Amino acid sequence: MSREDMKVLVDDFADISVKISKIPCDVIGSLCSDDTGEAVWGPHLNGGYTESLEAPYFGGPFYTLRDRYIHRIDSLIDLTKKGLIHRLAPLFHYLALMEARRLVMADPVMARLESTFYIRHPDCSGSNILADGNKITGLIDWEW
Amino acid sequence: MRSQLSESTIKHSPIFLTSISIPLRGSSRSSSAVHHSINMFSLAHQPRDMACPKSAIGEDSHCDVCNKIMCREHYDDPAHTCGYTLVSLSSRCFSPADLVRGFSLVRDGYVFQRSRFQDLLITDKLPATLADLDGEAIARRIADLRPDAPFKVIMPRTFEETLDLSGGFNMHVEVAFEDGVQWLVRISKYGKGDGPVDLWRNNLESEALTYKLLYDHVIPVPVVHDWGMGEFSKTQSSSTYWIFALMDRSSLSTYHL
Repeated sequence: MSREDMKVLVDDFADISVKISKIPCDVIGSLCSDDTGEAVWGPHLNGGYTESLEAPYFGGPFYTLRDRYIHRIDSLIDLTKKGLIHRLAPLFHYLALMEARRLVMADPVMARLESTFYIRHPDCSGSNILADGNKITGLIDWEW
Repeated sequence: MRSQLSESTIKHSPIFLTSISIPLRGSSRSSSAVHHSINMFSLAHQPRDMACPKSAIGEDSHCDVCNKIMCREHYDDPAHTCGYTLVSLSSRCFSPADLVRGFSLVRDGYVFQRSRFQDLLITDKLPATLADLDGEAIARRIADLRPDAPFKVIMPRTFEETLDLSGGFNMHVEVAFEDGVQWLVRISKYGKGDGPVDLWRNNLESEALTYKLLYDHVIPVPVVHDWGMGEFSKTQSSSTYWIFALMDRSSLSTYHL
């Protein structure tokens, strides 16, 4: 691909990203369907570790970054304590997570109640961007 | 083998502290042609020990050597005899120096495991998925979705053909309609016993609804005609499937920006 074509492709990607950022989204969460089949924002499916052993497996939706990260950190602490993750160095990870928890709790920006969020691709690497020449034709792999 | 990646990891200490080994795995990903579409979280798609409910937890309870997901008790069980050194290290308490060494071992373990893992996906999973695939069920569903439009399901005939349209965790079957429309059926390679079904169903539903939302806002995403779990499997396994409108075949190429 020529330098010019690559520039067109990157500009195209930037335009699409701006468009995605304008799609209304008022929580930190993932889409699920309600009883009537309507799409609603539900628990934040956050890949890697599931956060509990039973459904719904993940917490949320959240309205502050603090809630979102504290939930994640606390579930990781819980799983570490149970010996399910971080088996190599549980004490180190426990302490690191406690420190992360302290930092999150101390941050006023994280505590701010937000009403505007945006949709983020969970794995936005080039291999998930389909293109035809210098034109992006599809963004794929929106799981988690 | 270890040098580059493990050193860069240690330098990037914030990543090291908070994300543990996951970015390491991701970072070596693009080097593989076959695995260009591996999602780093897809490791959780590997077979799990369904007898143990704790296996719902993802990556880190995964034995790199025998490729099984298990809880700590099963991991440390004498019956778990894959013999890798990490098993004996797992119960030790580490000093920071040991920790670096420990993670080097994990890295080496991962490099070792990665090639083995690729072998497993290709040699074990793919033929098994292909044998489990119910071509008639696919044809019935396509006929339901687009009635009165004659079509042909192009099942891969050889292993090489299957590999040609296969990523790390999914394989694909093409559907050609007589009027020129082409669809692509995407089938996950994992089979029966791959963890809690409701977890995958939630994930699948979330992805489908996200595609729809993006499509409604004129973002370029493939049109999803159908999605589900197990229906195309002869053994009713929890394999997921997607039916996408296939864009121009040339658009299937991807770039590493």
